[in-house]
Amino acid sequence: MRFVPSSSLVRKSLSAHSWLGIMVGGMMYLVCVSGTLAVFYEEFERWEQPYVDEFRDVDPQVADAAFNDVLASGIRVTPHMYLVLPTESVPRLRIATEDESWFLNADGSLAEAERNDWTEMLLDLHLYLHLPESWGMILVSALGAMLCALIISGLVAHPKIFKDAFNFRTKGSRHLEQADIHNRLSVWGVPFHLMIAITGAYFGLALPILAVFADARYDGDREAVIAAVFGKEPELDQPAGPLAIESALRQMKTIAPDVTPFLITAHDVGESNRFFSVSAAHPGRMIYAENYLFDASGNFLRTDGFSDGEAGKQAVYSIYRLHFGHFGGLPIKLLYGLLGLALTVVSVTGINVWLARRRTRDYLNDVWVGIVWGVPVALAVSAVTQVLLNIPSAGIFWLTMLAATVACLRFRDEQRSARALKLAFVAATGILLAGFFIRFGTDAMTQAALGMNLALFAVLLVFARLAFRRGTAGPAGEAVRTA
Amino acid sequence: MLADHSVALAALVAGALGVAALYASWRKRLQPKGVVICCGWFLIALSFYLWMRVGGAEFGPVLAALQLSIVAWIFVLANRHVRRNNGRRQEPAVVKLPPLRAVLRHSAIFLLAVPLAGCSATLLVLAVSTLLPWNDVDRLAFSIVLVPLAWGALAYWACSDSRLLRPALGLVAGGSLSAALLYI
Repeated sequence: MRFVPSSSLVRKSLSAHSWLGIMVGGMMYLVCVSGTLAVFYEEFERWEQPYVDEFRDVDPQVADAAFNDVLASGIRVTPHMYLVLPTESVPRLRIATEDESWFLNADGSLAEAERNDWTEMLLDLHLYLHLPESWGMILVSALGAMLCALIISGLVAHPKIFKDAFNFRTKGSRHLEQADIHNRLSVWGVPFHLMIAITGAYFGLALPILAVFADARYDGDREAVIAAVFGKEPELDQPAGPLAIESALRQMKTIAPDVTPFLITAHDVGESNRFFSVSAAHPGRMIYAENYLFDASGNFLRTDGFSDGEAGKQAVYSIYRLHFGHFGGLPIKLLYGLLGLALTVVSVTGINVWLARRRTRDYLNDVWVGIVWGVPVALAVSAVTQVLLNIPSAGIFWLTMLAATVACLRFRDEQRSARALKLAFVAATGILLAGFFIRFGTDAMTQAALGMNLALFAVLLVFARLAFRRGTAGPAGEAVRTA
Repeated sequence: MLADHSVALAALVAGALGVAALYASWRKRLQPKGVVICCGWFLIALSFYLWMRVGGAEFGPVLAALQLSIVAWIFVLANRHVRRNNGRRQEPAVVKLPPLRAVLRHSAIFLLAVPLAGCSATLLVLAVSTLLPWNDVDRLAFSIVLVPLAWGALAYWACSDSRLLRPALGLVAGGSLSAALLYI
C-alpha cells in the first residue's frame, strides 16, 4: 500500500510549510549559522587566546594544590567552583567560579584570566539570539519544534519525493534552482535535521516540561524531580578543611580505570556539607559524563547513574554531545559543520523560493539579502573589534547587521548588495587575520590558532571567489554566471 | 582495532553502494527497478547495522545517518544539470499593507501554531507518558524527546487546516483532556 497524499493535502501542506518558513526564516537562519560555527566553539576559544600554556597530563598533586590554594587565596568564591582538566580538544588547565575563569600553568600557578568573549557572543546568539537567557532559550527551543513542523509539512508537501530524489537543475529558472537545492539538501538531510531539532528543543523546553510534570506528579516539588533525574546531593556534616582532590583523582584509576576525568566541581564550597564530583567521559558512550561524588576527605560516595542508571537518565545526559557533535573528535565536528551548513542553506533557499515565486520585488528582497550576507560580515567585524581591540561584540554584531540591511535597502539591487557584503566580509576577515598575526606574533602559528587561521583564510578565498563571479541576480542576491 | 577498521570500511562501502543502487534505479540504469531499490535500501540498512557494530547503539545510527546524507548529496551534485539562464528580473512593486482580515487570520494561526499547540503538545505527551508502565525518569525523558515532535505535528495541523476552528477546538479539547488525566 502506498501513501500518496491528495493534491488538496499537498496544497495545504505547501501553504503551511510556506507560512511556517516565513514566520521563522530569519531567526532560523541566525540559529543555524551560529550553530554551525558553535560546533567548533572549543577551537574558537583556543584561537582567541593562542598563547595559553597547553599540556595534556596534570599531576593529581598539582591539581589538588592549585585548586585549594585558589580557594584559600581570598578570591570571591561561589557555591560551585570548577577545575577544568586538559582534554584532547582543549588541552588547557582552568579554574573557574560561577562567573570568572583563569588558566593555570603546568606547575599549578595561576595564569591570566580566560577571555573568550567573541565565542561567548557566538554561543549566546545560538542559544538565546542575544535575548534575556530565559526567554531567548525558550524562543530558540520553540524554533526546534517549528523545525519539526517544517520537516513534517515539507515531506507531506513533496509528493514527488522519490521521483525528484537526485534532481539538481541549476541556472535555469531561479525558482526551480532554489527549490532543487532546498529539497535535495532537506530530504537527504532529514535524519540529521530531525535530530538537531529535537535535541535543540531540549535545552529550553526541559524546564517547562519538568515544571508541568512536577505540578502533576510531585505536588509542584521541582527539586524532587530534578533530584530524580540528576541525582540528590549527599547529606554530609564535615569539619572545615581542604578538598582531597589528589586522593579522588588517584582513586579514579581503580574506581573506573577506562574513563577520562575532565572536570572537578566543588559543591557548597565553605559549608559543612561540601563535596565534590569528578566528571569523566566514558569511551564509546554518548553521555556527556558520569559524575563520581566524593566527600571533602576524598571518600568515594557514589555516582549519579548517568552511565548505568535508568534509560531516560542516560538519554537526557546524551543530548548535549549529540546536538553539538562532540563525540568523535575533529572528523565528526567537520561532518556536523558540513550538515549544519546544509541546514543553513536550506533555511536561506526556503525563503529564496518564496521570494522567487512572487512576480514582483519589494523591500523584503533587500532586507533578506541584508540578513543573509550581513551575518557573515557582522561576525567578522565583531571578531575584529573583540579579538583585536577588546570591544564588546554583541552590540557591534547587531549594528553591523543593521548597517548591512540599510545599505541593501538603499542599493535596491540584490546582486550589487550581495557582492558588496561579500567584499566587506573579505575585507573584514583580511583585517582580522592580519591583525591577529600582528597582535599575537608567533603565537598565531601555534596549534591552538593555526588551524583556525587557515580555515578563516579558506573561507575568505571562497567569499572572494563568490564576490568576483559575474552573473545575474538571484532572489537573495546570489550571483549566477551568465553564459 | 583492525577488525573495527574493516567493519567501518564495510559500513562505508555498504552505505555508498546502497545510495548508488537507488541512484542507478532512479537513472533507470539498472533493471528491474523494484529489485534494485530493495537492494539499495537493504544495503543502507546493512550499513546502519555495521556502523552500530563499530560505534555501538549510540554512535552507530548517527554515523550511518551522517554518511547517508553526505553520499546522497555527492550523487545529487554529480547529477547537476546546467540549464540555460532564463532568469527574469522581478518588477518593483508598491508596498501595500495587508487587509485587516488577513492580519487577523495570520495572528490567529500564530496563536494556534505556537503557544496553543505548544501547551497542548506538552500536556498530551506528558499525559500519554503517565499511561506507560515506566518510572518517572523514563517518562520525563520520553516527554522531553517527544514534545518538540508533537508540537511540530500540531503546528502543522494548525497551519494546514483551512478551517481554523477545527484545530482550535481540537487543541483545546486535547489539552484539556490531557490536563484532566494529569491533574485529577
